[in-house]
Amino acid sequence: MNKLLNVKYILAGFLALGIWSSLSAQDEISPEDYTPGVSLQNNSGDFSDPVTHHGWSVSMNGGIGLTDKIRTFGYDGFAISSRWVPGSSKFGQRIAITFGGANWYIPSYSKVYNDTVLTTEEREMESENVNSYMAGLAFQLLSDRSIRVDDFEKIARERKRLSQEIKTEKDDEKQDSLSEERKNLVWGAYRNAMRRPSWLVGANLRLVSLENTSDVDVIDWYTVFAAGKSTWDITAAAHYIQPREESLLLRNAYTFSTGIFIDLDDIPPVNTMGLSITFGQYNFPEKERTFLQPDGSVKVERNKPSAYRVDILLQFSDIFKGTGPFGTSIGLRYSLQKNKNFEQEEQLAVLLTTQFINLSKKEKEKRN
Amino acid sequence: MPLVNQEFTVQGEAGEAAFASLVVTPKKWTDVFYGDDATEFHPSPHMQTVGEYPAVIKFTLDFYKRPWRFEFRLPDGQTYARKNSQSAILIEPDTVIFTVQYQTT
Repeated sequence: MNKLLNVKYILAGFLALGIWSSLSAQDEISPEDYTPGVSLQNNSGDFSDPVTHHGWSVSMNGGIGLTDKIRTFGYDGFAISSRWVPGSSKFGQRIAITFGGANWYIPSYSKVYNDTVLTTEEREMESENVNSYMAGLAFQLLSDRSIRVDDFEKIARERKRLSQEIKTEKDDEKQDSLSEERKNLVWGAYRNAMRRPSWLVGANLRLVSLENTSDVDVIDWYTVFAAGKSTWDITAAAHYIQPREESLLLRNAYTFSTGIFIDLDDIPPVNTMGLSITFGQYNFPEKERTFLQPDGSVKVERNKPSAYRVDILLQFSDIFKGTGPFGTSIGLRYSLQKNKNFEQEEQLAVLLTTQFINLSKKEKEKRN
Repeated sequence: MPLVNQEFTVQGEAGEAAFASLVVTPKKWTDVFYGDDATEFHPSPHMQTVGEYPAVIKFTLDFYKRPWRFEFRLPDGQTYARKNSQSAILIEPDTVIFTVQYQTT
């Protein structure tokens, strides 16, 4: 039932936001219609886009082939997240409020623990995939990577020289070539602004309610760094996930991601290719079971498993921009997971993301 | 491709200074040129001399950011204003051209 609901939400959500995005798209070439590669998530539902704008943004991602056979916990499936930067002062615009929801997945005991420590009831328990909520704060320590009038003024001399030549040139072919040169100059200045070093730190509280077992409220501490030059950009991110209170279902998790993003076009519309690698260690609490032996002695079986997971994600952004329900990016994820109690396993999934950014009125005025 | 190609005619005495005032928004995202050799023109709400009668002066406005608005005013009170209310940063400007004929009486 839950899965059916998820499919319905995914389709309705992508359709609604896709149509919304396509309606809001401009016919003219504009960098605001360009999705920086780094705004793609390193993994499903990681809520840590290093780019912040005064205003708000909504991102949704979902996919095909997720959550099956997974032996780690976390967000996976369908996620919707919003980022709101309410402040307009120099300090205020560095604070972002995030909120959203996603499918939280916790594997069943039988997918994590050695069979010897499980009771019959525990062996029959199934994995949990529930809708959960998230809220958090993020702080931008360096640039927000937005385009400012200073970036435009830096190229004033060269831009005006080209404009003067365009206006006095009689030959159509030469005029087109000069126009192309000016377009490259302006886009180059804007793109440099979007490659400034950016560093975001934040924490999200994730409220996970497991109706049949217990609640698992977790705090996800994270930091993301991004920097780039010309047509490429890189990111590095780290997450530490810990339950707010001691839990019977999970201990903690560390994930480290790095990604490289390359613009496939020189000027907009720009398609971006991104390759991210995430390594995660997911630790589970120790579980023990006591057996009374026929000779009267007591045998204790203990198991304190950790699962390791590597995700390699190849993504393309903007290919489907403005085309409706396909959203802003598509990605192919290959996952490899290992828990010493089990054989190594592989998984392939297709991820879809759509994003809508709305700059506040004050931000638009400030850029003037 | 220019968005506007409008012509104005204003009458004056031969040798008299030809004036115009031009206000643009957003000013820092707009380049303004005038004349056949595309000389840089600094917009101002005050009347500026752009030549002397008789003359034909062409103004070119390159807007790199929307929304934009401009208002061109002649000393006789004639005003011409246009705007674009959409929102975008452009890498190829919206170009507006208008020509003013300063004719002698």
